[in-house]
Amino acid sequence: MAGTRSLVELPAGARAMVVGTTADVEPHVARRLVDLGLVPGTPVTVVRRAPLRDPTLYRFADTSMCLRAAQARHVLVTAELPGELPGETTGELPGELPGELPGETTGETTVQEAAGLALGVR
Amino acid sequence: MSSHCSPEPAGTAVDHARPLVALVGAPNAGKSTIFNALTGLRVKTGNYPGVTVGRAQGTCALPDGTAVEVEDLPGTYSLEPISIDERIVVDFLHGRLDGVGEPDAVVVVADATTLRGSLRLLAGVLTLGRPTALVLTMHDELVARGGYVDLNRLTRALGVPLVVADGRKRSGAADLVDLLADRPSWPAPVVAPPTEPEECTAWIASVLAASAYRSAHESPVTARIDRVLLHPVLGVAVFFAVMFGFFQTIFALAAPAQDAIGTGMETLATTVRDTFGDSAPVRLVSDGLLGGVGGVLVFVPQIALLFVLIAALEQVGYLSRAAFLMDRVMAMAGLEGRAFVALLSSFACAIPGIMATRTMPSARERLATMLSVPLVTCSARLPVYTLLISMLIPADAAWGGVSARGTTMFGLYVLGAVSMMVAARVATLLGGGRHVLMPFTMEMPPYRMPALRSVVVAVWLPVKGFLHKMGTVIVVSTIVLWALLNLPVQSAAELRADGVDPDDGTAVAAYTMEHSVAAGIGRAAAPVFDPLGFDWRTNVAVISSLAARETFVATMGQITAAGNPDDPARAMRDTTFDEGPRAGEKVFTSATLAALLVFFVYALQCMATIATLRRETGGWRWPLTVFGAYFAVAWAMAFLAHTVVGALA
Repeated sequence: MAGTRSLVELPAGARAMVVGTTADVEPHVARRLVDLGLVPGTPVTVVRRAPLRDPTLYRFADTSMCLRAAQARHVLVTAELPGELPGETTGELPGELPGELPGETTGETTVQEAAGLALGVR
Repeated sequence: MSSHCSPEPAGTAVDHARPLVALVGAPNAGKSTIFNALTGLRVKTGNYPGVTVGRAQGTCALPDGTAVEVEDLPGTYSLEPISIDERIVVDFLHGRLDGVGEPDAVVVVADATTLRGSLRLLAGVLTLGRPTALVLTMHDELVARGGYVDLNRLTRALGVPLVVADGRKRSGAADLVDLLADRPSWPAPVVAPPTEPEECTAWIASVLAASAYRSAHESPVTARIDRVLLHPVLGVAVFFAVMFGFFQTIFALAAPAQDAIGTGMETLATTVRDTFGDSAPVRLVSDGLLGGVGGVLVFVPQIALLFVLIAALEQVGYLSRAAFLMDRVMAMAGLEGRAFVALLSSFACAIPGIMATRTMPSARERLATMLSVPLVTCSARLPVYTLLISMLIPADAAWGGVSARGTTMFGLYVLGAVSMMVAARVATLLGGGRHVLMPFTMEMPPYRMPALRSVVVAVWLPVKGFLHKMGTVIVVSTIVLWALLNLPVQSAAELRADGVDPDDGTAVAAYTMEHSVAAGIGRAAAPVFDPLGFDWRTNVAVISSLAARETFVATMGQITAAGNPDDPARAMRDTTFDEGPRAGEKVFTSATLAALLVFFVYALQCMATIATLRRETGGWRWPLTVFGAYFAVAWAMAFLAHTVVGALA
């Protein structure tokens, strides 16, 4: 991978992987970034910027989250990566449990129930 | 502290003897929906002792006839507190919060579509060693968007009982109640998960893998709608259209209801007078008491409607979008995007605006917002502005082809909004030294259909709170003001001696007011208001507007016009100083009118707002501080306006 840069430098639409935080980040901000799921290895997509350039909407850890530049600049990411990133939509360890796939155990009824429920919503 | 630990107290026991269950969850996890499903309308709201952190507690009846108290804790991402609100959550869970008690069990509410994030919070809760259960919301949405989780394996991996509940459906509520009833069987976890960030991340990954978790796709509908609603041009256009529709709805729907209440109360007052005769004690009831009750009721349609719209917009997901668009603007005031909901509500009335700050996650910004929104031009200022502007500016005056009256009115709205921003800035700067600066984070939930039940709860609680607590304060203050303006009672002999016909009701009213306690106060206040060009009658009207600003118009009418109280503008135009060195001069010069207008922009003349501030800040300190501060600013700005306009005229 090429050199790291700050999340705030990425253009809208870019994807990258979190590698860490800057050295000058205040401890409580660093803690909050971790709480939100911005841990090393997490893929981040820059969704869009607000009309006045700040804040920016990001997508990571299955959530859409707005961050101001003041916080986003503390997040270090890999250089921009194109295409689908591993773990982005399929969980961190997809299909690593042979013989325990969905539908084979008691999970089956749950899925059917849930699917039935889902029909009512969407 | 640990009086809650008796295993099964009697159902008839007092509140604090019931078991206490804490609801914990990330913002947007659906915690409040679960809370509503469990407790319905049996909810108390208020603040935690000594802080401006909103608190909601309710009772949940169990099938066996007992009941548990449920505490809806503020939303939090972790148990490493960095804000006052999160500190409250942590202290509450540890049982360290004075006078609040200790939770007997903890329910973690987690959104299935963002389970990864919620597991970090759950890990923190499990280390507390209290009996814990997990409620998974939005499971249907996870599946609908192509995600998956094996619930049996998840509950095994976590070691805590789990219930899937979408609070939007009533069927889920029964499962939730059963979960609470089964509380004695919740295990306190044997092995607590690690809390160090790296190890916790690894633990989360292992739990997700063990339960075959597959993330949901990003909602394609939401992505498509956001392309329009968050667009730099289209999104802003839609935003202003929504705001426009918001006010149109409030004024089109609430105004007739408010008029009906006003007319109804007047009819009632007239009936009372006709039935029992026109004596002072009767007028205390008909004008004072009924007037006071009417003054309270008249706010209700607007407040209810505001909360219907805010609750619907919030649950659909639009408020987060609006906050995203407005964040940069609110940042100029030291606030964040979410404060704009309070700002918006305050254009109708500061009371729902102050109550709307309950959704703000940071206590510091919540306080700054609450203290500054009374400067926003509320609908009660409108009749006052209309009257004063009509006197100040001729109807046909135009500036560059635009109506000068309309422009002045717009200018007053802008002045109110800008002043609010400045006040909020000052409040955050003054309060800033004692708190760390909170990073701004706001989740953008997918668009969802609002749940009627949650909307009803979101409307009922503030309306109930308003009627309950504010009712007494407003009614008492209205009666006191009525007494000040109408006492002492003038006997027929006294009236005749001063050449007033005791049968001429309007003349008697004017005479009584002129010799009332309030008039005495108005004259005593002359040194304060003389520099602004007010006479004693203006002082009385300003004092009477303390109950509610629009009272200014009626009082001005009563006090200046013996003949025609319905056209205060004409009577005021002809009013001259009747005493003192300026006797014979017109009172309402351009300079005085400008001073009055500016005074009404800043002064906190609203008992209802003061009562609400007392309730929401938990004491008299802040309401009295801002009352004094805004009075000083109002006086200074009015003096400035008087001087500048006087020099120009």
